[in-house]
Amino acid sequence: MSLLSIKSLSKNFGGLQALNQITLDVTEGSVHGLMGANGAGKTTLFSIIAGNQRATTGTILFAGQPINGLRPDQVCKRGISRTFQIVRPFAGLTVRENVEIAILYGRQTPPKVSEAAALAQDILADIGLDALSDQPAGSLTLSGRKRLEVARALGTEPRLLMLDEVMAGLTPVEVTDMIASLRRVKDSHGLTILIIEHVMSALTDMSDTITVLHHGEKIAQGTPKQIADNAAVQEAYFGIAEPLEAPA
Amino acid sequence: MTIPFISTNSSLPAVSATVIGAVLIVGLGVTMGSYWTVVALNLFMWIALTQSWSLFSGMTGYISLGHVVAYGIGAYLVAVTFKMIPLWLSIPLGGLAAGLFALIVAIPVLRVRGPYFVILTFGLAELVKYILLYTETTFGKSSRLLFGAPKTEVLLYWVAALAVIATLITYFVGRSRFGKGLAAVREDETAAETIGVPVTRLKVLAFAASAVIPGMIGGLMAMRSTYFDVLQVFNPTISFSIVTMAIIGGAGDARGPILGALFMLGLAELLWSTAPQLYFILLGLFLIGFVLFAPNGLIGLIKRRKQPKGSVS
Repeated sequence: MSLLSIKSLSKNFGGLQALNQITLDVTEGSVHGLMGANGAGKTTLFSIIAGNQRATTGTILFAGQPINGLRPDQVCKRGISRTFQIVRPFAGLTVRENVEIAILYGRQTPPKVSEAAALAQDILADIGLDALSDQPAGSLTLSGRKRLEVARALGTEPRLLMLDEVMAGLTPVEVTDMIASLRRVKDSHGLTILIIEHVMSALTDMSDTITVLHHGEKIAQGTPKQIADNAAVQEAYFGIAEPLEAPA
Repeated sequence: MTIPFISTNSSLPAVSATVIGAVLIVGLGVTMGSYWTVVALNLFMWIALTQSWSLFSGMTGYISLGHVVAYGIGAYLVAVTFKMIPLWLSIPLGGLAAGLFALIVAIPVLRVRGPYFVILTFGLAELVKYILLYTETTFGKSSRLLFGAPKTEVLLYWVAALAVIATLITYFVGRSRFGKGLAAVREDETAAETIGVPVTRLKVLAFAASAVIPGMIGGLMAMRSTYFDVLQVFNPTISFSIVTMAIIGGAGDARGPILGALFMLGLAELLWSTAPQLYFILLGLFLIGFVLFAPNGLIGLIKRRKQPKGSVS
């Protein structure tokens, strides 16, 4: 069953066609990868789903309900949470306060203010940030900030978690840690994940299905194995493979 | 500037300290003679104004340089309805009118941030001032005499009560869900709305709420001066003084505006009558010094002394 269903979605920025007739279904409980070169439209797609931007045409159904035109805070309450590729921590607040605010505002039935701190601490423990919860978020390293993005998104109790390059800029060890954390929270929170990732090994490792975008068009979809063998994908990434001609 | 979210300990000590402090100052002001009654009145007026400003600007980071507009609207309503409706009704109505005005202008005004917001609020206050000035002169009422206003002591009780209420509002909002949402707005609006914070609604509510008490104060202070003059109650110096006290005391913490008002009035009492030039020179120097070296004001300095470096709240 698809939790998120996108039909014929297009987005124009003036003359630039950022997304062209995208149709995409994300199966409940799956990890769905989005890949494509810079400028392919991946982050634009995230922004439209999350309500940060409006689609030019097309519809988005979440759990069977249309969510086009909702404000970001309304989309969040429906159960969709995103992270930002360029991290946006509340730098002047502590790590725990960052997550507390997500808990108090992102949930359909928010807990009492007095309970939020303990709930935030649990989420931070899940994601491996609990030792730093009293630190100002601005003092975290990049790896810490990426984790905080995930923790804050989890605070809203999403059904669909959209991760925008949460592994970019991390060391290989940190990438391995992050994948382990994501697997753990996916199982414990019963999440569906839509993930953009340039670290290809991480993407193929985690995804059940991968969709490839190229210049705003969907050019392929399939299992990681199918994508690796797909001719259109190879062409988009490496150029046309021409057979070498033997010298005459 | 960080809002303290230490909400585990009971708020009873803070509330009782505020009330007892206010009662003591009122008592002293009244018993020590009319000069000190006026000093106490001024102190509470500035606390109420700066505290209300802090409720919006301190928490959201939108610096309003036009808060005098609320003060002026309240004063205007009370002056126009003077002797027509009783003060216990017209003063709250003045606050309500100021809040309503803020609510109406909030949506367009809050679309801009940073220096644009500062200039826009300043310009808006000037605009209202000149519209009212034009209206008043057209009807031949460039100033209105207000005979039979209540005694200074009575005004002091009102203003002190409002200062206490404003302080408690800032204090409780700071630890509420609402206050945490406003802190998220101050830090990053896009991130805030993405995690479910209804950014526009919170900003508009805080903006309107921060105008109500200044509106009531404006009405009371018009009674104090026994005449109403548009240029006086819409004087931009009032807005500047509010911001100065908030910077020196520190915004975003209910104790900051109290410290800021005490500091500035203390300085004025010491120097105003003997060396007015020195007062302004020192005020300028302090303002520059605080902006550069203690951007979180006196309350920031106190917190820094209490905590070892590196630890937070």
